[in-house]
Amino acid sequence: MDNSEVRLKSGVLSLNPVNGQLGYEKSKHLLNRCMFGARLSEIEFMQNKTAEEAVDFLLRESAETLSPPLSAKNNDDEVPVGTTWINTKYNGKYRGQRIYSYICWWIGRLIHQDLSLVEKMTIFWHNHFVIENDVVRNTNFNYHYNILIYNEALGNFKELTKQMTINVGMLKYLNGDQNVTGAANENYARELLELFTIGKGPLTEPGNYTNYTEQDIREAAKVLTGWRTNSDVDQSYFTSSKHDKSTKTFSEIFNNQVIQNNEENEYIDLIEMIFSKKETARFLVRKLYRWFVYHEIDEEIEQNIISPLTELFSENNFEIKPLLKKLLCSEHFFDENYRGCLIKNPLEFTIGMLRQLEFDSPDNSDIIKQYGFWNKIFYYAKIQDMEIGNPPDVAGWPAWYLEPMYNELWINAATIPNKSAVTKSVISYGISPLSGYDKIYLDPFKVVYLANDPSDINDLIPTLTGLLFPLPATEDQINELKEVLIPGLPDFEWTAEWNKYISNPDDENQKNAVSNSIKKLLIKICSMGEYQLI
Amino acid sequence: MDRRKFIKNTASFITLPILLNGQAIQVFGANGFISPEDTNGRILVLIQLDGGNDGLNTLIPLDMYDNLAKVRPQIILPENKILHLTELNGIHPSMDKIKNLFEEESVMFLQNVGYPQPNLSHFRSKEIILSASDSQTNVSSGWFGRYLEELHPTYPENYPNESYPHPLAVTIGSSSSPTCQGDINNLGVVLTNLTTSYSSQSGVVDFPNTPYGYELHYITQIMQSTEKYLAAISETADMSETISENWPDSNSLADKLKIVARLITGGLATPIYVVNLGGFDTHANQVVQGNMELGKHADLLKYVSDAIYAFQDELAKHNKQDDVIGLVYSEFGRRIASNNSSGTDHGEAFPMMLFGNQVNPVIYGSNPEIPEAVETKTNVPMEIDFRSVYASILHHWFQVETTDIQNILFDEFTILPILKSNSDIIDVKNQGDLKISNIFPNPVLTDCRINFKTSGGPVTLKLYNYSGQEIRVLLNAKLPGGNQSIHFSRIGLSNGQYYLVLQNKFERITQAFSIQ
Repeated sequence: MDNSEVRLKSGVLSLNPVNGQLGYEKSKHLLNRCMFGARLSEIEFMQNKTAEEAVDFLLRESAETLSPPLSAKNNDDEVPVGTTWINTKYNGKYRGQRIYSYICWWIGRLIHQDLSLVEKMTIFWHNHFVIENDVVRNTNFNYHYNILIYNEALGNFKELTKQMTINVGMLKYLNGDQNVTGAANENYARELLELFTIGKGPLTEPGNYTNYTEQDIREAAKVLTGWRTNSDVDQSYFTSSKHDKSTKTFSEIFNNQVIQNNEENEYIDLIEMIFSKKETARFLVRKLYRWFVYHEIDEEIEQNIISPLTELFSENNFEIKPLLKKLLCSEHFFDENYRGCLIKNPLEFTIGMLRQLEFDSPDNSDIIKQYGFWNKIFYYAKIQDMEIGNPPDVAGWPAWYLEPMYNELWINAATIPNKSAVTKSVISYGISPLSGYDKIYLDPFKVVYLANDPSDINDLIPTLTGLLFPLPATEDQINELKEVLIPGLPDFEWTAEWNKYISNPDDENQKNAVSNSIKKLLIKICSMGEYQLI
Repeated sequence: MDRRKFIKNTASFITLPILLNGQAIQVFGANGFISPEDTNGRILVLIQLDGGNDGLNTLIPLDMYDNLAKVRPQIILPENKILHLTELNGIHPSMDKIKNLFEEESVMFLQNVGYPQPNLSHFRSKEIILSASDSQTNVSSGWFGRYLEELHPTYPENYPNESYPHPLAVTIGSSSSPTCQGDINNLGVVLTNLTTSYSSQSGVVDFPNTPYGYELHYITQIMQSTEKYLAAISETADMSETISENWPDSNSLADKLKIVARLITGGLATPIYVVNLGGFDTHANQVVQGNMELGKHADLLKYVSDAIYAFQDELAKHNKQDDVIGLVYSEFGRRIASNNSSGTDHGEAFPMMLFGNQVNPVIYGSNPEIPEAVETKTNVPMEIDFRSVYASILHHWFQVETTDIQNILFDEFTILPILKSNSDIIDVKNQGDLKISNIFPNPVLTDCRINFKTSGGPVTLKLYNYSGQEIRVLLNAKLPGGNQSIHFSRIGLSNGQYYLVLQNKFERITQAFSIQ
């Protein structure tokens, strides 16, 4: 298929909010983009709201504070199972147990997420301000990185950048804590400019990347000297004697700005300087656009969507909420041509499946079992190329930046069979949290009861495809799915089978027969290409 | 709106055996397949060292050791630990097996490889190295992808067929490599190693003319090809086992090369394999203080050395050693000076390594000049454009026509003698287009001027000693047509008979002179 013919250029280019109640389809679209899988009850809850009401709801502050990760292995001698390790000094001895706890805790948050944008945006920031667990190693540092991106997820981008610059996890990851006067380590300074804020442009001459130069990187590195970490302490600290007190001069691009010695506040001056350039706002707006809408940004999108949003973001002093609200309420976002064009990332695919099929995840009555289950889900996403906590490198996952395929990269001949294996485990084979524990199974009847009239195949199947596919299924597809549920039989046979079960729910044979048919149907639906898209 | 109808695919459940030792494999060729005739049965293995390998700590210019020790005191190898390859060059002590291969004439080094206007960002530099674009140009296809596209410019929906059963390229690892990115589709397919079953999409599907339709079509295509590729690879892998005793344990590069070896010896026609090894971004703790032959960098180089050695041995045991060459490279080198964290920051030019029975076993290119003192920002300057290396591989190894090479690499680049054979290089006796006009004075006492003439384009001028060993590259540049002149100093050279070789693309002029 030739790129240029097929892709719809532009479509609706307005940022005006859509009017009236959302309705089912728009509600589904909004929630699938803002959450990890939209449950039917959630879609129905939102469908009577207007876009603005719905987005306000998703952006609201949470009443509860985040509960901390818990020890979930018996062999952490310092921290008993079910209590938290975040206030215990890190000495490396129990790293394995605590990283396990940290990762499982994070997955658990996604599975049990509220109707809110906060967890989706936390993952966005994780992919933006990347650190890798395996490199940082100190589990307390990893936790404090996580808390930062969670707390500021819907907050202020400039503020987040400032705090991230001196965050223990980030200082460790990009050697900021080894950056000292006389021997500046450029690692963080480079990525700050290239990946985290203003982004690089074309190389116009040696060392000049349009938006900044190698000189700017070197001077920025000097500004950032003096910050230290200590594995015992959860905050970083500034040591004046390690700080480069010279006057730092930046390139013409930054109007030859000079930053004088300002000790521990100097990094703030640097961030202010970088954020004074409009390009910083634009860079993030583009990233958010690719995250929520589609990867292709042509000139029309740039002019009609990116530019106005950049202005708005800048005028609102880098507050995330007004930006997201403008984008997510817009006619462009809800344009029918842009429904279903994003390939799900592995977390959306896996956790979405659990949530949409109403899978009963274990509760906290048995922490070891609960965390074990969450660990399995972590693993399922990992084998689809998305290991939460460990992006492949500081640029994040390639699906969000690698031209020209972007999130088509999630779909390849290794991940497809793995997605299939995950689908079957969730729906049919069951998921075993840990050895020694029984498998946990999907209750297919919970899914069937999502339909108003489960006995009517013409209600059941469209309800399911209406939930699980981004666009309505075609008549051919509905017929194909009927063939899976009741092969070679007319519609009323389903009603008969169903009623036979209802009239005698204790009949194991009949129950199994119906259950197996539904599972086959669900596996089929979740194996289809349409299910990969939101 | 344009609607396209696609043929109904019946749902099929394919069960695949556990393939290859717990390694996720990616195969490139989503919509295309290849037959051995297309690439004369020859294979290229690309080994990417991710992060930017410190070239000066890998291939060490022995004549620069004293200055190196002055400018990188934090990481310099102890002089007595360096393994000597030639009088002028040594190699990191971890790479003893590469030294063996060098002595067996299966390794070639190319020094100071880079590109004009280097970009020190990992990602941009990697893009440039993999796409073979100009530093200023954004090209989103890989160089090899474009080559494969030249072979298979269309992707009809009725691939594969009898003549084209095998994928175009294979990457070992769990994320795709942009190397094999064709202009529209990644020419890659990915394998799995698990017992799996999956179904392809069924039903008559209209693909609407929207982004949704485009993405759905992509997904459908991949699902369809996956089935077929996996079958081809699975058959091949079933037919072979590794037999060399040299395969090291706990070496992730070796694990990947083992799979490559099995696929090659099993008869897969795939011409390109891509593997990578990460961890080379050694900003800090590159070495162990006090024992600087040890540390992170040393460990990584050992993986590379041991893995390649075992791989060569495996090929030899199956008599495949003449069909395969490998290229080891990174997205850039590292700074000349060390930093204060016992490491180095991003740099520019670096050495590339070719391995294989058929490679030209020399160290090509002159040693980088290392001054006594450098600024933090000083880098090794480029002498060889990396695209010359690709051009040479395409031309000598895959026998691609120069016009095609020019399409693939967007420009002309000097072809280098990377193989022992190099049958394309024709010696021409001072003909019109290429000529060494004179060397004055000859014999050379202290220095001389070399006057020559070319018809324009990439040209190299090199110095060889009496026994035909290359001593120095005097010039490697693109010149306008006409008369040229360079200055030559005999400092560092002993008295005797020497040869100058002037070369452009396919012609080569040799001129003898002496130094007294």
